[in-house]
Formats: sequence, C-alpha cells, structure tokens
Amino acid sequence: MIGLYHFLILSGVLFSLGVLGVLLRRNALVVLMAVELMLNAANLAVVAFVRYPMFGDGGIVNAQDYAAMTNGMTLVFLVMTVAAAEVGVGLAIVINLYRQKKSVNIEEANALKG
Amino acid sequence: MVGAFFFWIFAFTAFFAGVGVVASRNPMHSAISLVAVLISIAGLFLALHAEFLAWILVIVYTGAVMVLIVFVISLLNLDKDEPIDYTAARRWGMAALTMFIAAFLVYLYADPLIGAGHPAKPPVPDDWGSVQTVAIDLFTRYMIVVQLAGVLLTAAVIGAVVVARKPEQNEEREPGA
Repeated sequence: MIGLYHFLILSGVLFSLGVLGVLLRRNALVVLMAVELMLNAANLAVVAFVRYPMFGDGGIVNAQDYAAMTNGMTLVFLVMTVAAAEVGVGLAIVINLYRQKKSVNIEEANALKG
Repeated sequence: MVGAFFFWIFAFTAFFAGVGVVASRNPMHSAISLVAVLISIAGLFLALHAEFLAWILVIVYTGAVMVLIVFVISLLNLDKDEPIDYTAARRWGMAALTMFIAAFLVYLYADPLIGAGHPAKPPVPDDWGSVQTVAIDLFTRYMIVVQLAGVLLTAAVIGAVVVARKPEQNEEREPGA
C-alpha cells in the first residue's frame, strides 16, 4: 500500500541527490539544474502533505473542510513561479560569467575572493 | 493495485534520472535526465490528485525552463565532457555529507512508517485539484499573492536582461573584471 511516507522518502532522496549535485559539480549550469531538482523534490513533499492531511488530535482540518481545501497547491504554484524567476536570472548570470571568463566553471568565479 | 504500480514506475524513473543529472559528465545529458525527473514528478502529482500542478509542471518546466537551459548549453557550446579530477578526500567528504543528509531525511520520514502507519487518504470530489478549484483559490483568497508573483516575474525579466546584456563599448570596466 502506497502512502504518505513513500512520497516523503522519495522526496528526501531526490533532495539529497540535488545537494550532491550542488556540492560536487563545477559546471554552473549543472549546479543550476541540481537546484531545480531540490526545488521539485520539496514540491513533491508539499503535494504529498496536501493529499494526506493529518486529521484528529494533531489535525488541522475536518473531512468536510478538506474537500474544499487546495491551499497547498497554491503554495506549490508560487514555488514554481519563484523557480522560473530564479532560472531566468541564473541563466543570465551564467551567460555573463561565460562572457568574462570564457568558461562556466564555478571555481574560476572567484573575483570577490579576499 | 494500479496506484502502487504507477508510484513505483515513476519513483524509480525519478531516482535513476536524478542520478543521471548529477553523474552525467555532459551537461546536455544532465538536462535530458532532468526532463525525465520532472515528467516522473508530474506523474506522481497526478497520482496525488494534483492535476493542475502536474500539467503546470510539464508546461512550465519541461516546456519553458528546460528549453531555456538547453538553449544556453547550445549557445555557449558547453556540450562537452567535464573532466573528473576531484581529490579523493573531497569526493568522499561530499559523498559522506550527502549520505548524512539523505539518512537524516529518510530517518525523519521513515520513523512513523515503522510505528504508526500512513495517515488516511480522505476521499475527494473528482474535480479536486483541477484547474478550476485551484484557480478559484488563486483569484479570490490569494489575489494579492498572485499579483505579487507577477511583480516578481517582471522584476526577474528586467534583472535577467540587465545582467545578460553585452557591456557597451565606452562603458567603464574594471581591469581584470
């Protein structure tokens, strides 16, 4: 039987893969893609929590109200908006970096290093 | 059970494509793997009855964002293999840190899995999570938030244009910048 925790564990594993990508890779574009992976893993956790709410003692809603409740989806929609904005600005920065360094290796982007 | 079958198909695709994003030496292969991850996550959204978000994910991410990324990869001619020359200490340190984060997250989530079991999945009407129900929320209760999201996107577009434009010839440039 598939339940909430299956989705949450998958979300955690995908998030960790994104962390590994950000730490390990030096191509700025791949780092950007790994950040996207992390954002989408978090979105998956939110949508799973929307579908499997906690009722009862520690609960937040009753079953009647739940049917009319899609607030979590609004949150995910906004996360996607922010992610789209982030990719737009991030790619502009990558293009600018490439223009200055002739490479997108993030270890060469050390102009602000003390 | 059909739901379980869908979950495992999409979960395994998402996992192995996620490994592909991180492990591919060619950025183009990473991008294609990321498209596979996103389509799998859209499938999981459908399994969670979040129809609107599933289509938005496919349209916005695989349709717009990934095309942008692939376009930049082609534009900058980055379609080359990246040398793997990390020191062993760095590689194992990062792998250990990531394994720690993964173990922590899985522990956090899997703890109740052993004890209390899954929370119930309450029945919902057929149109729950459809474009209509989410849109009613977005354009009534969260109207201000939607407007602010529009402002954010406008600011991002202007910022991207300013950052990515070619510097003018007579503009003062710092030496070495």
